[in-house]
Amino acid sequence: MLAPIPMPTYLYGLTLTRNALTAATVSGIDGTPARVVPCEDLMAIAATVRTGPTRNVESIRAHDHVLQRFVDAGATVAAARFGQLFSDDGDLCAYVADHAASTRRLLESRDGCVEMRLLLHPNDEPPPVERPTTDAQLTGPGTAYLSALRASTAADPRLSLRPALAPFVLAERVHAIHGGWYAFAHLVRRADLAAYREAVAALPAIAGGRLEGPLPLYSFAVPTEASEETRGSSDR
Amino acid sequence: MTNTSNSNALDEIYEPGQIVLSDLVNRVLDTGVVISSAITISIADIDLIQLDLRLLISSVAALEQRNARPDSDADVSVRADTDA
Repeated sequence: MLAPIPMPTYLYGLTLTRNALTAATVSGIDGTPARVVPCEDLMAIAATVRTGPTRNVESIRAHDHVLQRFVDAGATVAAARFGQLFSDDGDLCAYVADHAASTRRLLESRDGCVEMRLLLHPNDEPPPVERPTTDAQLTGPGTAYLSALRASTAADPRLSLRPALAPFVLAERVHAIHGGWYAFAHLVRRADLAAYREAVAALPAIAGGRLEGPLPLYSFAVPTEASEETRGSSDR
Repeated sequence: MTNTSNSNALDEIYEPGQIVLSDLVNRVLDTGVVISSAITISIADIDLIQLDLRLLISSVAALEQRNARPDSDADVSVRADTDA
C-alpha cells in the first residue's frame, strides 16, 4: 500500500474567528478550494496545494481573489504575503500561535476596516490654475500638498494625501510603482467608505488616478507606528 | 499617462490596466503578514510577466523588444524572506 503523498498547506491570510464568515466556495491557486483553519482564536484562510505556487500573474491573482471574497463578505482580513507554505494545518497553526498575540492585537485594532489604494502619477499635467476670488478660496494645506505633488519631478518620500482626506484615513502608506506611479494605501473604516470616496472625488489633483478597493489589508497587515493612526476605538 | 521624449519603451506600453496589475503584484508580493521563516516560490520559465525587485511588468512582446537592447534585464529576481 502506497503512503499518501503529503500535501502542504498554503496560507492566504488571517482573520479573527468571529469574522470567519462562511463564504461561498472560492477556488484559489491551481484551482484548489480555499478553507478556514481555526488556530486558537484566529482563523487562517488556507488551502491544501500540490506544490509551492509559481510566481506568475495567474497565481498572484488567485491569491488576491481568495482574500477579496472574504472582504466582499464583510470580513476584516490581514493578507499573508505570497508564497507561505506549511507542511500541514498543524504546522501552520504552530506558526500562527507564535505570532498570535501581535496578530490578534492588529486585527482587533483594524476590525471593521479595509484598505483603499489610490494610484496616481504625480507628474501628470496639472489642472488649469484657478485664481481665488475670495480669501476663503486660498490654498489650504490639503491643496498645497497636492500642488507640491504635481510640481515634483522626483520621488519624494514625504508624499502624502492624508491631510487632504482627513478624517477618513486612519493611516497611510505610500508605495512606488514602476514608471513614476505611486500607490497611496489608506486604512479606512467600512462605515466611512462613502465619505472617503466623495472626498477623493472632490480632489482636483486626483484626475487621471485610479481608486481600488475595498481590499484586504496588505499594507496594514503589519503594525504601523502609533503616531500614524487615529484609533478612534471609542466610537466603534 | 504622460509620455515624455525620455520615457523608455516600457513606460510607453504602461497602460492604466497595467498600472492596476502592477499594483496588484506589488501588494501581493511585497506586503502582507509574514509568519513563515521561509517563503517557497517556484519560478516558471515561460511566465507572461517579468518581475524584478522594482516590480517591473511587461508583456512577452515588450520583453522581446527590450532584449534587443544592450541594457536589457531579462532575469527574474527571486527574494526569500527570512523575517517573521
